[in-house]
Amino acid sequence: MNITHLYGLAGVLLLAIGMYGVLIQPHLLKKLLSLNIASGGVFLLMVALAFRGESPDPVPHALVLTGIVISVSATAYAVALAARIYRATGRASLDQTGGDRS
Amino acid sequence: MRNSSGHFPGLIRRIVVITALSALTIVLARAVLMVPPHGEGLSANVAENLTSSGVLHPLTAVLLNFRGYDTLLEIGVLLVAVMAVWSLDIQRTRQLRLKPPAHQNAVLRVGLGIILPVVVVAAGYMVWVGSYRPGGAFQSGALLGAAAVTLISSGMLITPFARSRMVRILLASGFAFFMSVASATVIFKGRLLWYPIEWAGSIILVIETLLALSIGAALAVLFAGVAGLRNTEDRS
Repeated sequence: MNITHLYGLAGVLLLAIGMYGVLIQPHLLKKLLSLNIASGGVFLLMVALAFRGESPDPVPHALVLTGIVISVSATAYAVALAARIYRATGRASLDQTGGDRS
Repeated sequence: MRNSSGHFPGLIRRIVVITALSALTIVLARAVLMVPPHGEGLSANVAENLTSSGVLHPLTAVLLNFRGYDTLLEIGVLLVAVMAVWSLDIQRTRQLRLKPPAHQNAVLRVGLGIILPVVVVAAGYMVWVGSYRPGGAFQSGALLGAAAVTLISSGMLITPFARSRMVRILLASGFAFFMSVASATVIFKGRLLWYPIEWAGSIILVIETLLALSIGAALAVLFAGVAGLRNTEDRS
Protein backbone atom coordinates (compact mmCIF):
# COMPACT_ATOMS: atom_id res chain seq x y z
CA MET A 1 0.00 0.00 0.00
CA ASN A 2 1.61 3.24 -1.12
CA ILE A 3 0.48 6.58 -2.52
CA THR A 4 -0.13 5.14 -6.02
CA HIS A 5 -2.43 2.48 -4.57
CA LEU A 6 -4.21 5.09 -2.42
CA TYR A 7 -4.97 7.33 -5.42
CA GLY A 8 -5.85 4.30 -7.54
CA LEU A 9 -8.33 3.00 -4.95
CA ALA A 10 -9.85 6.48 -4.63
CA GLY A 11 -10.32 6.45 -8.42
CA VAL A 12 -12.04 3.03 -8.28
CA LEU A 13 -14.31 4.26 -5.49
CA LEU A 14 -15.27 7.38 -7.45
CA LEU A 15 -16.02 5.20 -10.48
CA ALA A 16 -18.36 3.01 -8.39
CA ILE A 17 -20.10 6.03 -6.78
CA GLY A 18 -20.59 7.62 -10.19
CA MET A 19 -21.90 4.41 -11.76
CA TYR A 20 -24.39 4.05 -8.90
CA GLY A 21 -25.73 7.51 -9.65
CA VAL A 22 -25.94 6.82 -13.39
CA LEU A 23 -27.97 3.65 -12.79
CA ILE A 24 -30.19 4.83 -9.92
CA GLN A 25 -30.81 8.58 -10.30
CA PRO A 26 -33.84 9.14 -12.54
CA HIS A 27 -33.14 12.84 -13.21
CA LEU A 28 -31.11 13.37 -16.38
CA LEU A 29 -28.85 16.10 -14.97
CA LYS A 30 -28.10 13.94 -11.91
CA LYS A 31 -27.22 11.05 -14.22
CA LEU A 32 -24.93 13.39 -16.12
CA LEU A 33 -23.21 14.63 -12.96
CA SER A 34 -22.78 11.02 -11.85
CA LEU A 35 -21.28 10.09 -15.21
CA ASN A 36 -18.74 12.90 -14.81
CA ILE A 37 -17.85 11.70 -11.30
CA ALA A 38 -17.32 8.20 -12.74
CA SER A 39 -15.10 9.48 -15.54
CA GLY A 40 -13.21 11.59 -13.01
CA GLY A 41 -12.52 8.35 -11.14
CA VAL A 42 -11.18 6.72 -14.31
CA PHE A 43 -8.94 9.72 -15.03
CA LEU A 44 -7.64 9.68 -11.45
CA LEU A 45 -6.91 5.94 -11.72
CA MET A 46 -5.02 6.37 -15.01
CA VAL A 47 -2.97 9.34 -13.80
CA ALA A 48 -2.16 7.59 -10.51
CA LEU A 49 -1.01 4.37 -12.21
CA ALA A 50 1.13 6.36 -14.66
CA PHE A 51 3.35 7.75 -11.86
CA ARG A 52 5.26 4.80 -10.49
CA GLY A 53 8.87 5.79 -11.06
CA GLU A 54 11.08 8.86 -11.08
CA SER A 55 9.14 10.55 -13.89
CA PRO A 56 5.48 10.11 -14.80
CA ASP A 57 4.63 8.10 -17.93
CA PRO A 58 3.49 10.77 -20.44
CA VAL A 59 1.34 8.42 -22.57
CA PRO A 60 -1.52 7.84 -20.05
CA HIS A 61 -1.32 11.53 -19.13
CA ALA A 62 -1.85 12.45 -22.78
CA LEU A 63 -4.77 10.00 -22.98
CA VAL A 64 -6.37 11.58 -19.89
CA LEU A 65 -5.89 15.10 -21.28
CA THR A 66 -7.64 13.99 -24.48
CA GLY A 67 -10.33 12.23 -22.43
CA ILE A 68 -11.11 15.37 -20.41
CA VAL A 69 -11.86 17.36 -23.56
CA ILE A 70 -13.95 14.50 -24.98
CA SER A 71 -15.92 14.23 -21.73
CA VAL A 72 -16.56 18.00 -21.73
CA SER A 73 -17.92 17.90 -25.29
CA ALA A 74 -19.99 14.77 -24.59
CA THR A 75 -21.39 16.44 -21.46
CA ALA A 76 -22.36 19.55 -23.41
CA TYR A 77 -24.12 17.41 -26.01
CA ALA A 78 -25.90 15.44 -23.27
CA VAL A 79 -27.07 18.66 -21.58
CA ALA A 80 -28.44 19.83 -24.95
CA LEU A 81 -30.23 16.49 -25.37
CA ALA A 82 -31.67 16.80 -21.87
CA ALA A 83 -32.94 20.29 -22.73
CA ARG A 84 -34.52 18.92 -25.91
CA ILE A 85 -36.15 16.06 -23.96
CA TYR A 86 -37.47 18.62 -21.49
CA ARG A 87 -38.94 20.67 -24.31
CA ALA A 88 -40.52 17.63 -25.97
CA THR A 89 -41.93 15.93 -22.86
CA GLY A 90 -42.11 18.65 -20.21
CA ARG A 91 -39.86 16.66 -17.86
CA ALA A 92 -36.14 16.18 -17.43
CA SER A 93 -36.39 12.89 -15.59
CA LEU A 94 -36.80 9.26 -16.61
CA ASP A 95 -38.89 8.59 -13.50
CA GLN A 96 -42.35 7.72 -14.84
CA THR A 97 -45.34 7.94 -12.55
CA GLY A 98 -47.50 4.84 -12.94
CA GLY A 99 -44.98 2.12 -12.17
CA ASP A 100 -43.35 2.04 -15.62
CA ARG A 101 -39.89 2.86 -14.34
CA SER A 102 -37.30 2.69 -17.04
CA MET B 1 -48.88 2.92 -7.40
CA ARG B 2 -45.32 3.99 -6.70
CA ASN B 3 -46.07 4.33 -2.98
CA SER B 4 -46.88 0.69 -2.36
CA SER B 5 -45.87 -1.86 -4.97
CA GLY B 6 -43.80 0.60 -7.06
CA HIS B 7 -41.37 0.90 -4.17
CA PHE B 8 -40.22 -2.71 -4.31
CA PRO B 9 -38.86 -2.78 -7.87
CA GLY B 10 -36.81 0.31 -6.94
CA LEU B 11 -35.48 -1.43 -3.84
CA ILE B 12 -34.65 -4.62 -5.74
CA ARG B 13 -32.91 -2.61 -8.44
CA ARG B 14 -30.89 -0.74 -5.83
CA ILE B 15 -29.78 -4.03 -4.25
CA VAL B 16 -28.81 -5.51 -7.64
CA VAL B 17 -26.89 -2.36 -8.62
CA ILE B 18 -25.10 -2.14 -5.26
CA THR B 19 -24.13 -5.84 -5.43
CA ALA B 20 -22.81 -5.54 -8.99
CA LEU B 21 -20.90 -2.32 -8.24
CA SER B 22 -19.42 -3.82 -5.05
CA ALA B 23 -18.16 -6.78 -7.09
CA LEU B 24 -16.72 -4.38 -9.69
CA THR B 25 -15.06 -2.28 -6.97
CA ILE B 26 -13.50 -5.32 -5.31
CA VAL B 27 -12.15 -6.70 -8.60
CA LEU B 28 -10.74 -3.30 -9.67
CA ALA B 29 -9.31 -2.63 -6.18
CA ARG B 30 -7.53 -6.01 -6.25
CA ALA B 31 -6.18 -5.18 -9.71
CA VAL B 32 -4.92 -1.78 -8.47
CA LEU B 33 -3.22 -3.40 -5.45
CA MET B 34 -1.56 -5.98 -7.73
CA VAL B 35 0.14 -3.24 -9.78
CA PRO B 36 3.85 -3.22 -8.87
CA PRO B 37 4.83 -0.02 -6.99
CA HIS B 38 7.60 0.76 -9.47
CA GLY B 39 7.39 0.83 -13.22
CA GLU B 40 8.36 3.22 -15.95
CA GLY B 41 5.63 2.40 -18.48
CA LEU B 42 6.45 4.01 -21.80
CA SER B 43 8.39 7.00 -20.42
CA ALA B 44 11.75 5.42 -21.43
CA ASN B 45 10.54 5.03 -25.05
CA VAL B 46 9.28 8.61 -25.08
CA ALA B 47 12.54 9.97 -23.62
CA GLU B 48 14.55 8.00 -26.20
CA ASN B 49 12.66 9.51 -29.14
CA LEU B 50 12.17 13.01 -27.68
CA THR B 51 14.97 14.49 -29.83
CA SER B 52 13.10 13.55 -33.03
CA SER B 53 9.77 15.04 -31.89
CA GLY B 54 10.61 18.74 -32.36
CA VAL B 55 9.65 19.65 -28.77
CA LEU B 56 11.33 19.23 -25.39
CA HIS B 57 8.36 18.29 -23.21
CA PRO B 58 7.37 14.60 -23.26
CA LEU B 59 3.62 15.26 -22.84
CA THR B 60 3.51 17.65 -25.82
CA ALA B 61 5.61 15.18 -27.84
CA VAL B 62 3.06 12.40 -27.16
CA LEU B 63 0.03 14.64 -27.81
CA LEU B 64 1.17 16.31 -31.01
CA ASN B 65 3.68 13.87 -32.47
CA PHE B 66 3.82 10.25 -31.26
CA ARG B 67 0.07 9.94 -30.71
CA GLY B 68 -0.99 12.94 -32.77
CA TYR B 69 -3.95 11.01 -34.16
CA ASP B 70 -5.57 11.11 -30.69
CA THR B 71 -5.46 14.88 -30.75
CA LEU B 72 -6.65 14.99 -34.38
CA LEU B 73 -9.67 12.83 -33.54
CA GLU B 74 -10.27 14.82 -30.36
CA ILE B 75 -10.60 18.17 -32.15
CA GLY B 76 -12.84 16.32 -34.62
CA VAL B 77 -15.06 15.12 -31.76
CA LEU B 78 -15.21 18.66 -30.37
CA LEU B 79 -16.33 19.95 -33.78
CA VAL B 80 -18.95 17.19 -34.08
CA ALA B 81 -20.22 18.02 -30.56
CA VAL B 82 -20.68 21.68 -31.58
CA MET B 83 -22.59 20.64 -34.72
CA ALA B 84 -24.69 18.17 -32.73
CA VAL B 85 -25.62 20.81 -30.13
CA TRP B 86 -26.49 23.28 -32.90
CA SER B 87 -28.60 20.68 -34.69
CA LEU B 88 -30.75 20.18 -31.56
CA ASP B 89 -31.69 23.85 -31.81
CA ILE B 90 -32.59 24.29 -28.15
CA GLN B 91 -32.28 28.07 -28.24
CA ARG B 92 -34.85 28.86 -30.89
CA THR B 93 -36.75 31.24 -28.66
CA ARG B 94 -34.36 32.03 -25.88
CA GLN B 95 -31.22 34.10 -25.47
CA LEU B 96 -28.99 34.22 -22.46
CA ARG B 97 -28.93 37.80 -21.25
CA LEU B 98 -28.08 39.21 -17.90
CA LYS B 99 -30.11 42.08 -16.49
CA PRO B 100 -28.65 44.65 -16.25
CA PRO B 101 -25.89 44.00 -18.80
CA ALA B 102 -22.30 44.48 -17.78
CA HIS B 103 -21.79 47.80 -19.58
CA GLN B 104 -24.14 49.39 -17.04
CA ASN B 105 -22.08 48.02 -14.17
CA ALA B 106 -18.79 49.92 -13.79
CA VAL B 107 -17.13 47.40 -11.43
CA LEU B 108 -17.86 44.44 -13.72
CA ARG B 109 -16.80 46.37 -16.83
CA VAL B 110 -13.49 47.57 -15.37
CA GLY B 111 -12.84 44.16 -13.79
CA LEU B 112 -13.33 42.41 -17.13
CA GLY B 113 -11.10 45.02 -18.78
CA ILE B 114 -8.30 44.07 -16.39
CA ILE B 115 -8.79 40.30 -16.32
CA LEU B 116 -9.49 39.48 -19.97
CA PRO B 117 -6.25 40.86 -21.49
CA VAL B 118 -4.29 38.97 -18.83
CA VAL B 119 -6.15 35.75 -19.70
CA VAL B 120 -5.44 36.21 -23.42
CA VAL B 121 -1.72 36.81 -22.77
CA ALA B 122 -1.65 33.77 -20.45
CA ALA B 123 -3.29 31.68 -23.20
CA GLY B 124 -0.60 32.74 -25.68
CA TYR B 125 2.11 31.94 -23.13
CA MET B 126 0.56 28.50 -22.53
CA VAL B 127 0.89 27.55 -26.21
CA TRP B 128 4.50 28.75 -26.35
CA VAL B 129 5.58 27.13 -23.07
CA GLY B 130 4.09 23.76 -24.11
CA SER B 131 7.21 22.94 -26.11
CA TYR B 132 9.39 22.55 -23.02
CA ARG B 133 7.11 22.67 -19.95
CA PRO B 134 3.59 21.59 -18.96
CA GLY B 135 1.20 23.59 -21.11
CA GLY B 136 -0.10 23.51 -24.65
CA ALA B 137 -3.18 23.82 -26.78
CA PHE B 138 -5.66 22.36 -24.27
CA GLN B 139 -4.70 24.53 -21.33
CA SER B 140 -4.59 27.55 -23.62
CA GLY B 141 -7.94 26.66 -25.20
CA ALA B 142 -9.47 26.24 -21.74
CA LEU B 143 -8.29 29.75 -20.79
CA LEU B 144 -9.67 31.27 -24.00
CA GLY B 145 -12.95 29.38 -23.51
CA ALA B 146 -13.18 30.64 -19.93
CA ALA B 147 -12.60 34.22 -21.12
CA ALA B 148 -15.41 33.88 -23.67
CA VAL B 149 -17.73 32.27 -21.10
CA THR B 150 -17.04 35.21 -18.76
CA LEU B 151 -18.00 37.62 -21.55
CA ILE B 152 -21.15 35.66 -22.38
CA SER B 153 -22.34 35.30 -18.80
CA SER B 154 -21.72 38.99 -18.09
CA GLY B 155 -23.95 39.90 -21.02
CA MET B 156 -21.17 41.54 -23.07
CA LEU B 157 -21.29 38.89 -25.79
CA ILE B 158 -24.78 37.80 -26.76
CA THR B 159 -25.25 34.19 -27.80
CA PRO B 160 -26.34 34.65 -31.48
CA PHE B 161 -22.74 35.80 -32.00
CA ALA B 162 -21.78 32.13 -31.58
CA ARG B 163 -23.01 31.31 -35.10
CA SER B 164 -21.30 34.18 -36.89
CA ARG B 165 -18.98 33.46 -39.83
CA MET B 166 -15.86 34.41 -37.87
CA VAL B 167 -16.65 31.96 -35.08
CA ARG B 168 -17.37 29.19 -37.61
CA ILE B 169 -13.97 29.80 -39.25
CA LEU B 170 -12.27 29.75 -35.82
CA LEU B 171 -14.06 26.49 -34.95
CA ALA B 172 -13.01 24.76 -38.15
CA SER B 173 -9.46 26.13 -38.51
CA GLY B 174 -7.79 23.84 -35.96
CA PHE B 175 -9.25 20.65 -37.40
CA ALA B 176 -8.81 21.82 -41.01
CA PHE B 177 -5.12 22.66 -40.63
CA PHE B 178 -4.33 19.54 -38.57
CA MET B 179 -6.15 17.41 -41.15
CA SER B 180 -4.22 19.02 -44.02
CA VAL B 181 -0.93 18.35 -42.21
CA ALA B 182 -2.01 14.74 -41.61
CA SER B 183 -2.93 14.30 -45.29
CA ALA B 184 0.34 15.91 -46.41
CA THR B 185 2.38 13.53 -44.22
CA VAL B 186 0.49 10.54 -45.64
CA ILE B 187 1.14 11.74 -49.22
CA PHE B 188 4.77 12.85 -48.87
CA LYS B 189 6.13 10.73 -46.02
CA GLY B 190 3.90 7.69 -46.51
CA ARG B 191 2.84 7.56 -42.85
CA LEU B 192 0.21 9.44 -40.87
CA LEU B 193 1.60 12.43 -38.90
CA TRP B 194 5.27 11.69 -39.49
CA TYR B 195 6.64 15.23 -39.56
CA PRO B 196 10.01 16.01 -41.17
CA ILE B 197 12.31 16.31 -38.15
CA GLU B 198 13.70 19.76 -39.03
CA TRP B 199 10.18 21.24 -39.34
CA ALA B 200 8.51 19.31 -36.53
CA GLY B 201 8.85 22.10 -33.92
CA SER B 202 7.35 24.79 -36.18
CA ILE B 203 4.54 22.53 -37.43
CA ILE B 204 3.60 21.63 -33.86
CA LEU B 205 3.62 25.30 -32.80
CA VAL B 206 1.27 26.33 -35.64
CA ILE B 207 -1.04 23.34 -35.00
CA GLU B 208 -1.13 24.13 -31.28
CA THR B 209 -1.94 27.81 -31.87
CA LEU B 210 -4.85 26.98 -34.19
CA LEU B 211 -5.99 24.16 -31.88
CA ALA B 212 -6.02 26.55 -28.90
CA LEU B 213 -8.22 29.02 -30.83
CA SER B 214 -10.54 26.24 -32.02
CA ILE B 215 -10.81 24.61 -28.58
CA GLY B 216 -11.50 27.99 -26.96
CA ALA B 217 -14.17 28.81 -29.55
CA ALA B 218 -15.73 25.33 -29.26
CA LEU B 219 -15.94 25.49 -25.45
CA ALA B 220 -17.52 28.95 -25.62
CA VAL B 221 -19.99 27.88 -28.33
CA LEU B 222 -20.93 24.73 -26.41
CA PHE B 223 -21.55 26.89 -23.33
CA ALA B 224 -23.59 29.38 -25.33
CA GLY B 225 -25.48 26.50 -26.95
CA VAL B 226 -26.62 24.88 -23.73
CA ALA B 227 -26.77 27.92 -21.43
CA GLY B 228 -30.31 28.93 -20.58
CA LEU B 229 -31.33 25.42 -19.60
CA ARG B 230 -31.98 26.71 -16.12
CA ASN B 231 -34.54 29.16 -17.46
CA THR B 232 -36.60 26.28 -18.86
CA GLU B 233 -36.23 24.34 -15.61
CA ASP B 234 -37.44 27.33 -13.61
CA ARG B 235 -40.58 27.59 -15.68
CA SER B 236 -41.95 24.27 -14.41
